[in-house]
Amino acid sequence: MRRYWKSVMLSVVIISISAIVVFTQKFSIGGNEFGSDAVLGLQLGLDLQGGSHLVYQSDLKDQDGISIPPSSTQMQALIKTIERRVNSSGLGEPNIQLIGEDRLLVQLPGITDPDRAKSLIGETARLEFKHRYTDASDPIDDSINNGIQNVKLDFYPNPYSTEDDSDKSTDSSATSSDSSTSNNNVPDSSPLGIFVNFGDDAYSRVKTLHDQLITSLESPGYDRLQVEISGGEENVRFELLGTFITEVDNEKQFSFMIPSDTYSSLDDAKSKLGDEINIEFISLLVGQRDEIIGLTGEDLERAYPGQHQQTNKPIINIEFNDQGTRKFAELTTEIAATSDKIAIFLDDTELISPGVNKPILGGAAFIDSPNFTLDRVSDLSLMLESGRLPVPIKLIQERDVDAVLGADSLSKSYYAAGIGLLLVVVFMVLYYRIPGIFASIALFCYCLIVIAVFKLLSVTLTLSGIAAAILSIGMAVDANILIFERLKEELRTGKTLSMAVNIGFNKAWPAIRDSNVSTLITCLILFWFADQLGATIVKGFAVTLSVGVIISMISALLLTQTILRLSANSFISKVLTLYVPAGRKDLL
Amino acid sequence: MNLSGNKIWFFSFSSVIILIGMVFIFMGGLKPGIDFTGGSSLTIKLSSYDSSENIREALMGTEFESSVVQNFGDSTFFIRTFDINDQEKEKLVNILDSLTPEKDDLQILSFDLISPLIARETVVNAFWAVFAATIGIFIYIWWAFRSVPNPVRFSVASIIALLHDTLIVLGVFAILGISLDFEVNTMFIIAFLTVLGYSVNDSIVVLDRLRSNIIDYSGIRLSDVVNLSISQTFGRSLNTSITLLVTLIAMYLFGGDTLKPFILVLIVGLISGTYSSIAIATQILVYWDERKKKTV
Repeated sequence: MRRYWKSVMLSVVIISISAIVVFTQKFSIGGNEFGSDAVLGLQLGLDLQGGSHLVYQSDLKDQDGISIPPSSTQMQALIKTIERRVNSSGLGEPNIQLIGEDRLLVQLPGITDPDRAKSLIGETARLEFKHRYTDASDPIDDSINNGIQNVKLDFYPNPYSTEDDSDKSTDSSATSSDSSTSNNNVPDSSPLGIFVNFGDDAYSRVKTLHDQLITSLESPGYDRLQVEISGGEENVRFELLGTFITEVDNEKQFSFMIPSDTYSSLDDAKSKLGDEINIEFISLLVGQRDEIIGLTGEDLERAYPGQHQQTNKPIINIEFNDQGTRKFAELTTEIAATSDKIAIFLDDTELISPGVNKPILGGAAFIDSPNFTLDRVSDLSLMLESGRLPVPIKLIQERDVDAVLGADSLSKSYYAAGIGLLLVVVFMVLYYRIPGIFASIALFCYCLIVIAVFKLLSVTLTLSGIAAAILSIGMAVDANILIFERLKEELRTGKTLSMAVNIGFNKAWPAIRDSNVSTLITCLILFWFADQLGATIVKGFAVTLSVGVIISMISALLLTQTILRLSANSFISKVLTLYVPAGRKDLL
Repeated sequence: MNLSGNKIWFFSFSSVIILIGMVFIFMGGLKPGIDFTGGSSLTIKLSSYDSSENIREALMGTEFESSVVQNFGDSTFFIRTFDINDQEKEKLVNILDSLTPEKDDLQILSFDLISPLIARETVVNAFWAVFAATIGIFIYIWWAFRSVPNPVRFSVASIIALLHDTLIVLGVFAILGISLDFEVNTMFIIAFLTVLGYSVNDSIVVLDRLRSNIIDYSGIRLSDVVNLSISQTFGRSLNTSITLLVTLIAMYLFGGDTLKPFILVLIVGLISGTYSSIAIATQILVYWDERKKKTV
């Protein structure tokens, strides 16, 4: 026994360390964390714990729309952006990898809402800062006022009045009362209108103006037309929304509604305005107009939630890069002290439109609002950040696994592997007797070492990895069987047990080596291809099988050999029949 | 055991099996899954629901009409369709959700989306991976058997055995494809590569014994040395296969439904691999040897 003490000691040390590693859920060595919360502290792949596997490809194009490859700096920036965005969303820690030159693999373990993650990662998000003009007034082209041909007073026509329109009239800031448009047969309470005929040129201009007024009703901040009517002693000025102007068919005539609180009746109006009525179009009051100023998400350096220093209320901090700082300074200088706003759009959807108190020249600012909550602020910050994806990306592969399905696969795999292992042990002990028991011990130690190595190398266990592990158990068993068969043969030629162990082992070794090396070659090639492709399933398989095969060789070389040699020098060796398998004695 | 004398029977037996498999392959038995065609697949659980017929009906007249719907049992259904975008996915989920009156009855177990671009690459890469692995093994065996004369025949023999197992597995899977709608996906490729690895592993063990016997018994006819080697390794081949088979059958019976086709490939490959190491790889060597002697 003294001759083998080195290998005995080595086996004991390896097995003890493995056992400690396997049965310690989590530990850290030199600042590196090992283990996890899963069974035996193993790292579980997405197919076993649930989650999303997303592969994105760069969609970078030059001005002519031709795809161009992104630089590695751009891809690194992309990784950082996505990482930060997902991290701060509370969706868990993403695992982001670059595949090749223009692809990203984003893995989101344990995520329950993959669609939210996808929208967060954003495919074409584009952030734009626009100058929002409010209450500007544009003068009306003279040709309209010069093109007025005929003006008369009558009841305002009522062709389009619908619920919708009356809703808008109550909402709007325009000067018109609520009783305006509804189907009212009593002439006295019907609104009055000024009917104006225009010349050809003026008519088409009024039509354009009218369309613009109508269109502006689709978004907040409606445009209004400022009109003044005069006649007799009267001089009334009012503002009209697009709804309160009606084109009268076929006569190049428009009717402009007079706000109903102006006159009590048609007679009242006629008497006050007299026969000679004049109308003048003063100006177009622009409710809101957004102008692109070339400040985009690319100019934004950071956006992050914070707290106001005095009020402690949630705010959004924003910081611009050099170019952005210049543009932002220009914008804020122009806007400060007016009612204009900065309108921020993400993919043409308005996010927020803050006003500006004073010019901001330093490129750093914060946004606050009475409606801000912690959630709102953090979501908005994320969305602001998302607008500056350095490279546009598109989704080319997605694999979502529900956590329930993952847990189900995991427990079933454990169950099946356990039963399988048990059956192997039963078979080996029944057939090979004492060596079978040794092989079972070696197999148990083999499993222990494999799990320990998985933990130390942070190998992620996937379904395909479990398959590979089963195959590697098969190979480990095979190595033992090869040794035992040779041992049996050597015993039959009349050698002593310790001689038979040595010779049997030496003769079995080339087969073990060659078969395992050819498997390793396959694994290596698989790993290389999977790495190019980002095929995590195949990669998991290759890694697990490689680890299994290498340890299977070590286990055969060290454990089985050591146990057999030890037993050869003990009392068990006296009973040689224990080493000869049951049955098949006649075979050669 | 005079296995070499019966080699013609082994070759014929294998040829028949492979031919049957080929017929099924040409009948379109190997149904490529979305991994190779591009598209999306959805595995859902609709408790209180047990027929895929109603799902098919519900998809009639929509853009998902041509979807493949399979019942996995246990109220679990598999739906394969084209590569849908987010809006289309939402629409599909809504259709499925409206199948049962209860709210939140629908549970999406897994969703897969493969763009045609990725699918094309997968096909090309799977092919090259298998090809490169084969070349790598060929060269290694050539090198490992350098101590015996004409080592390249060992490489050729193990690659032919490997090809044999490959064709058998493909054939059996084509039969399963026709009868049970099994699909060829990434998991299949992995099972396939596992079989590849096992087949070579098995052949090497037998060939290794042949290697040492050729040196020990030089002067004896190769067919006798082959018979002797097979007899010597027969116990090992059988026992290894039995232990692995036992594990795999346990996996098949107790593992999840999603793993079943995968395990089935392994079981077929394992049986074929054991058979080919005895009846194909070594017999090719004997055949080669006898042919050579005749021509000399």
